[in-house]
Amino acid sequence: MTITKQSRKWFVALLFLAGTVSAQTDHVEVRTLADYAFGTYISAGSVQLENDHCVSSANSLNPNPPKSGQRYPYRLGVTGDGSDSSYYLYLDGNTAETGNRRVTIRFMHTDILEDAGMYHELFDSTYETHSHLGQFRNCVQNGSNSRLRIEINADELAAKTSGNYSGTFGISSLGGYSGTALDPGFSFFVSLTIASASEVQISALDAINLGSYAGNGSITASESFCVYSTALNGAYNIAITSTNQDASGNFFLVKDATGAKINYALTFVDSSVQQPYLEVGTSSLSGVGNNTAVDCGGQNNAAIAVNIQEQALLAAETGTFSDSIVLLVQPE
Amino acid sequence: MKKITKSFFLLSTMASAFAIAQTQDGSLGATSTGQIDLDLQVLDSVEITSLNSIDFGTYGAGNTGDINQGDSFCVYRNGGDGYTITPTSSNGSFELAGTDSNADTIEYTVRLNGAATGASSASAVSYNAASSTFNGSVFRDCSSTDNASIDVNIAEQEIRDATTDTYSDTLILLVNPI
Repeated sequence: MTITKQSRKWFVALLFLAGTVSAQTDHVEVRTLADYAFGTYISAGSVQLENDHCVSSANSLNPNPPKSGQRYPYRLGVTGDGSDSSYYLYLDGNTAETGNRRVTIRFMHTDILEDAGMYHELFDSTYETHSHLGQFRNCVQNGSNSRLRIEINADELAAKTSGNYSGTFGISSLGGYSGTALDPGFSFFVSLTIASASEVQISALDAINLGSYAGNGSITASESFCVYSTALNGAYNIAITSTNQDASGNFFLVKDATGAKINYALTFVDSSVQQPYLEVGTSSLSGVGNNTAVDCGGQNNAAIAVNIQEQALLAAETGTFSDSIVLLVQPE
Repeated sequence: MKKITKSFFLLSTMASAFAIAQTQDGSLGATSTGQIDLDLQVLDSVEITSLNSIDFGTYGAGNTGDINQGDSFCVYRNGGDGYTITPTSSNGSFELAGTDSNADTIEYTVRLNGAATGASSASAVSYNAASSTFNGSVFRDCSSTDNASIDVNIAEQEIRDATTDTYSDTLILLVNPI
């Protein structure tokens, strides 16, 4: 069959129309997202890391589209282990871990070209409800547009067993001119090491029964206990307070029924360094604990002493007086 | 004549019952908190001190009227709380007894007050009966300032009825915490 000049004109026109239809591509694409490596965490509060990447959503595959090209909204989704709506890092990457052997993390997403710093939280296996205007392919015109932040709360970190935590996550996006085009994306890796911080323990504490006072002399009583500390040389800091202590650091026994008080002096000694008894006030004190045996090998290494002056006792009304001494120890 | 011997009395209620105190060890961690509970039972305590003998002197033909003599003393009471005094005597009643084997006695009355002075104006206290309630000092020596007093009165006729002799008694003041 021969093609006349007239028919050739129509043929060219048909080819042009066909070309226009083929340029309307339902395009969405999530570009590579770097892994998140938090490094080693040692009691440093909350932590976060963020990475930027490109998410394109348009009606063209062309990074530099023709005039007919348009950008369309996209919605991001991150998948974790799917156990629930939260995201976790697991000790040694073992997804069977629970409790203090897995760390809850939060994925927060923003489009840095349009959201003005407003982040939206993501939940496992659910596309975000808030959509963002995507870029043309590879974001060659405006640069990376999508920022994904991981946040980990300090309390969450403080409560976890030390060790290496990690998780593998998938990122994908819905978009294109249809709004339903899917780029299944790819996986990325998140890692975190929680270092073993120094630990302390105070133990072998007993109540101090000051007995019955019938009007003669002062009262002195003491209680020894064990302090274990894994800090360098077993150093620790101890803050000694009581429920009835006043702002000036004075200690009191109190009769609950009437609020009557008996002032007493409280002193502390770190017997392991043979120091004299130190008066307890509002400031914390230092000591050297046992750094090899949690139970101090059965040998207590610190003590407090209570002394009540005779006149304070003589002036006290009849009844039962009490106080609770609180000893807070931390590595030093 | 009558004597009040220096006496000392300290009363304590020994019955006491302590609640079981709770004490807890700390746990192993970045910090560790322990607790030590303290308990003290303060018992009722009183003490009477700074007592002196009362010497009525001599009473003869040239003397007239009643005899009044007294003494001030110190009462400690824990908490500065209240107390009463129950007076008794070695003679079994408020009377002076002769010392020279005669059977005569001289009756007297006792008045007590919760201040170093003013007992002579107080109401008489019956034998072996509690006085009014007074408040003690929180200091065992009352800061060297007496805070109670006693007045002993002998009516003139009681003396005139008595055979010549030396008469005496020992007053016992029992302090009771209230």
